[in-house]
Amino acid sequence: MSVIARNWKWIAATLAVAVIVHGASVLLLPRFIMMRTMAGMGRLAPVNTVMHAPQATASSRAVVRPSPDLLYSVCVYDLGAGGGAVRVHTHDMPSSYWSVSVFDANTDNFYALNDRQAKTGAADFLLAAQGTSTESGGLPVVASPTNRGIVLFRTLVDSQADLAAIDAARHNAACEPYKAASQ
Amino acid sequence: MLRALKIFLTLAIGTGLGLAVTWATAIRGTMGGNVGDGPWRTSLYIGSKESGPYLRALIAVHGLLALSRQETMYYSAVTDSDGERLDGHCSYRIEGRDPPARWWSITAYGADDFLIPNPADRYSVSMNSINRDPDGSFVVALSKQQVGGNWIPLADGSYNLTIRLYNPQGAVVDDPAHVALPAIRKLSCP
Repeated sequence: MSVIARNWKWIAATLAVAVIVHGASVLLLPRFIMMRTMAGMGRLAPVNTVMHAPQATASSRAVVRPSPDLLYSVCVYDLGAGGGAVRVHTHDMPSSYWSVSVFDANTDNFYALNDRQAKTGAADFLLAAQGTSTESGGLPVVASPTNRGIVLFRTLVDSQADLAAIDAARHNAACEPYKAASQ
Repeated sequence: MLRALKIFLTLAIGTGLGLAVTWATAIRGTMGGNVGDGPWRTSLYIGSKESGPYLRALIAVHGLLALSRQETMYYSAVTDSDGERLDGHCSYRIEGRDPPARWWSITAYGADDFLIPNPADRYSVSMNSINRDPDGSFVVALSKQQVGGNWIPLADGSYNLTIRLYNPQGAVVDDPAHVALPAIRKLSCP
């Protein structure tokens, strides 16, 4: 009897373990990376507040593949810590391209709004958990598939000469618990 | 005792094998996709809820916080137009015209997915910064040695390129394999 024939049950069990580990690691990897990224950002700014990163250079290591042509402003949101909803807003943004996008804890980009869609140089909406009803005070409500995630403002630097003005304008971006506003 | 050893080996080898397959299928490589357009690769499902587990894992590793196709299409290249791996020791030129998008950029990244350190602090060319010929075409030099005009500095080792198409025209999403993207030509290697 060959070694393989004698140990076929152990070999089958080894392959089964490999399949389970592989499947679980592929499925969990995005959540793990997102969790690690949010934890890193959380060390720089509290949840539900916007942090404005400097223009990306080779020393920018917080998130892979940054664009050096954009300014990134980021908010790690936590609906639980936000009293059930988080308000995201900005105004008087630059006339060039900008967008605000939202990513859930599984890395999916489930919402994006750019300057052309916003039209007025402003954006104002609530993030709330899927399946909950939120008194929004007339603001649009965006349903978040997870309680935690990342809001990312991208602002194009179309001219380095305008960097200071563009940088100042993007500081209008805000992300805050909605509980206080609704009371 | 032998049974315990077999259980241990089953778990250890199975775990190692499973993680090795994950590394080979979902971690190794760079941001890409299943759609090819010359040396450039993309996917309509980058950043999207519709992306499958492998693409989602690959993007989490190599392109975290990428936007979905309605906002941006990302094309990445790890080879030149002849299919040879991009090498920082060599010099290249990118030749083309403005891709069909509201705004675009071409950025070089090292194998670690971060911008390539260089004394000039130059990492990309974009719709706003590029110098065009009178007919609207452009040429971008990729090299370690500084050159005038459109130039993206390289460093030793492998690297890759990403074209970002912000607010792409409808044709890009409708037929992402046939977008007029720039060619990448190798000029010389030491």
